[in-house]
Amino acid sequence: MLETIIENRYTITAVILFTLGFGNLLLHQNLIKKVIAFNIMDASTFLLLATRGFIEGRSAAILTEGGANTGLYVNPIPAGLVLTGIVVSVSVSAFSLALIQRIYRRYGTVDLRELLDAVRKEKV
Amino acid sequence: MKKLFSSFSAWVDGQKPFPLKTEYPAQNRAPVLKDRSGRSDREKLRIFSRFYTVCCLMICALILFALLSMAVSMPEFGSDTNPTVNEVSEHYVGKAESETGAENVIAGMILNYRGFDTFGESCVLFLAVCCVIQLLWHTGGSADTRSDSGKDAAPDVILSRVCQIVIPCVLCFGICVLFNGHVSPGGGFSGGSTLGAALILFAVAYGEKDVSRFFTRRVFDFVRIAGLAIYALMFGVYIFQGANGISSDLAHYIVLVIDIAVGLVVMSTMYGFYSFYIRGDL
Repeated sequence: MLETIIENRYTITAVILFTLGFGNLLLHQNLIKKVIAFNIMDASTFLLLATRGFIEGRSAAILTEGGANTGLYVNPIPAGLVLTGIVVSVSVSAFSLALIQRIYRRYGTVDLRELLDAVRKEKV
Repeated sequence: MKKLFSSFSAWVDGQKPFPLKTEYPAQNRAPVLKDRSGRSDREKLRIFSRFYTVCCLMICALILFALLSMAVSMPEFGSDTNPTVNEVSEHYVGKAESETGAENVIAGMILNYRGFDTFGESCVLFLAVCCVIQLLWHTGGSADTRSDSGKDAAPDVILSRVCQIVIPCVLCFGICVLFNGHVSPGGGFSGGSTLGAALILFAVAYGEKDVSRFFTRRVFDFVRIAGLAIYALMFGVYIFQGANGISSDLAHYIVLVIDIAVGLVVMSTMYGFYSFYIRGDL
């Protein structure tokens, strides 16, 4: 049991981080904290992807004196996928933060419950 | 037709009047209503939020359990017999230098083999900055008046002295990373964000007015659109010239140009985010 946990430590860390982020995303009422929780979820996904590409005893996929010997370098595909993920996560964070700034200026709060209250009162 | 376009561009720039309320009047609270069960809204909300918390924790526990049971049965970490190490990655590592002319296999991969994917990424960044502009254009920056924003206050002496030394180094490093992206660690995204960080540092140290003297809205739009256009053009040339059949030298230059185009898009995007959050303008 312990051996399995130590062997899969990165995957288990990623899973715990993902759950922490997801729980905070659901439980927090503050919109900024929701964005932070979303970013934690993103980071856990990147951790999982990056560790999937690692191969023991090999170096990063930048060709050096060894030439194009496939046995010398780690898997380059997850690195490219993480790059895509980072760009998308930055864009989503920027868009949601801009929306939150707009919401704050309109209603004077970033708390979801107060916000719902304010919207309901505005309708009446 | 022209009128339609001008009104559309005004809408995109957010110049249409938008009712802004900086503070919501807290005094006119909703009256406490009671329904048939005799519970007030506030009590119902309290019961609901307790129920909601319990439900969330249960869902999280379920997800944690499911993912953990999956995690322990994943293939071994760091082994070269994993199913992820297949002929695709071997092809990328083995043929990247001869087919794309990039020693940095990841740069060759994302800008050449998976070029459409990276083009989509650049479009995502472009659209994100468009959305931020539309949301925050001319809204006057952050809601509370920032006394330390450098608009009225004199620039910080220590910061501006340090920045005289630091900013040229950061700019040189960014340009170096950007131009050597295909032969060393780095590339368009990292080099572009370093250059954007240098611009943001400049704006923080000497005020946004000094940046907007050379980085106006027109330049900003030109840089980010030109970056995307150069990318599309070069990648189109590459595809229609026969993709992998192209000579290694030419592919090398195409990767370099695409890298620089991506760097330009990322740089203007990073500075655009900062500037629109702080001032609602460039």
